[in-house]
Amino acid sequence: MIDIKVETANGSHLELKIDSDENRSLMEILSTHDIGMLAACGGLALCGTCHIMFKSGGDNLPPPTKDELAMLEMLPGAGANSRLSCQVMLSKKLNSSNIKVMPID
Amino acid sequence: MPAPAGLFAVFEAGLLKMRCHIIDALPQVGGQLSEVYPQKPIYDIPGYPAINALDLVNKLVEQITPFNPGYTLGERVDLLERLSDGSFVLITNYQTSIHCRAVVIAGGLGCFEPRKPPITGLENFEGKGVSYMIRNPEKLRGRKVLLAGGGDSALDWAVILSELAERVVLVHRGDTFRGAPETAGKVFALAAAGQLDLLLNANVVALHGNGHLQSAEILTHDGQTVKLTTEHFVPLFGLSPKLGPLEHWGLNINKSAITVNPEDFSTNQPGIYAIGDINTYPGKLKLILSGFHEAALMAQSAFKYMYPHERLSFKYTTVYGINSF
Repeated sequence: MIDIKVETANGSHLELKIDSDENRSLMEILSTHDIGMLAACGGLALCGTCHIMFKSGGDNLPPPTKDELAMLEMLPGAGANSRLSCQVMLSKKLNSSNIKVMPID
Repeated sequence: MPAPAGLFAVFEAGLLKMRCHIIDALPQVGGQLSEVYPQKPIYDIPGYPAINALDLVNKLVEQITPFNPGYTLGERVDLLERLSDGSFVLITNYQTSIHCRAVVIAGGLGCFEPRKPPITGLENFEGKGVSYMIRNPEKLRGRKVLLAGGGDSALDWAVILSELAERVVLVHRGDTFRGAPETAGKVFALAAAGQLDLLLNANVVALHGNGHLQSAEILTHDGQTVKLTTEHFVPLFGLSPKLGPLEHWGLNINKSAITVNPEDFSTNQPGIYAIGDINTYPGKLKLILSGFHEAALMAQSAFKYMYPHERLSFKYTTVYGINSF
């Protein structure tokens, strides 16, 4: 199992327990919970509406691709620990991470 | 605003002898298929093991051609007015006016609008010194211009305006650029040569002026506030999907989607339907094939709405073929 602590855009908290063999992106997992994630482009790194910030964990994930970096560059609230959750595939490296879903500008 | 669902709606309406007029804010039909991923293969269109997005759009356009739809492309519907007889007038941002008896919104992700950074006073100065894109750089010749952003667009304009403007300042929240390396190199070289000012690790936080933008407040990451005299501010943070003007048409909206009745995809406003990715209802799947289904049911309902006294007979194309207009 992968445990992830999530702070939603409106400040509420939830803890996800996800099967580690699911071949899905973090955005797809988050979208199944009613946390207001828009994820408008469906996972193409084109809209920035699945922006998350790692409060802890996430250090050993594969680095963002050029497309993801280009989109992060455009998001006013993005920082060094920002990722597009649609580009983060589930893996055991996410276990015990703590993320914040960023509000949509 | 037709993505695939909207194009197929023209076909389904055509079978019922209802002629359609297509309005799309983009210069071509096809929504995100044409604009965002034209060459991506799609694998879940029934009958096509794989089809490129643009090929699907082209086939849909071919399929609706017998029904001779009107096209208004590159224009966004800004106003929708219901007339006393229940019909509608739609007016675009270029003042094109379309009269119709039913409206089908197939807006996909919605309109892509400039992303606005959180800056005090930003919206007060829109059109009064603040703009989100540069249409005519000549208008900035000899002016003091402040740019913000770190993408290709910010870098490109910084280089171009360094030759035109009296003074260009580029504010970027980081200290490296993720845009094209050669353009970033040019920007650093121009800054070293004093031809533009680069403020790194900083954010524009407030704008001031008396009717027109006069100055900007910039906060550096080490806590210093810099006040800068400027006549123009152009934040360049890309585009973000928004519902756009249809947010003001009295439709029920839930999480950036239009709530519809899943029986016929009608909205809370009689005569206005929403199909495809822009709608929401229990069990909604954002799939092209679901949009096609929605288009078919919508057309039946729209016929009954527009012609309440006429009998609707359901016909198969295998029996009756296509009767073009």
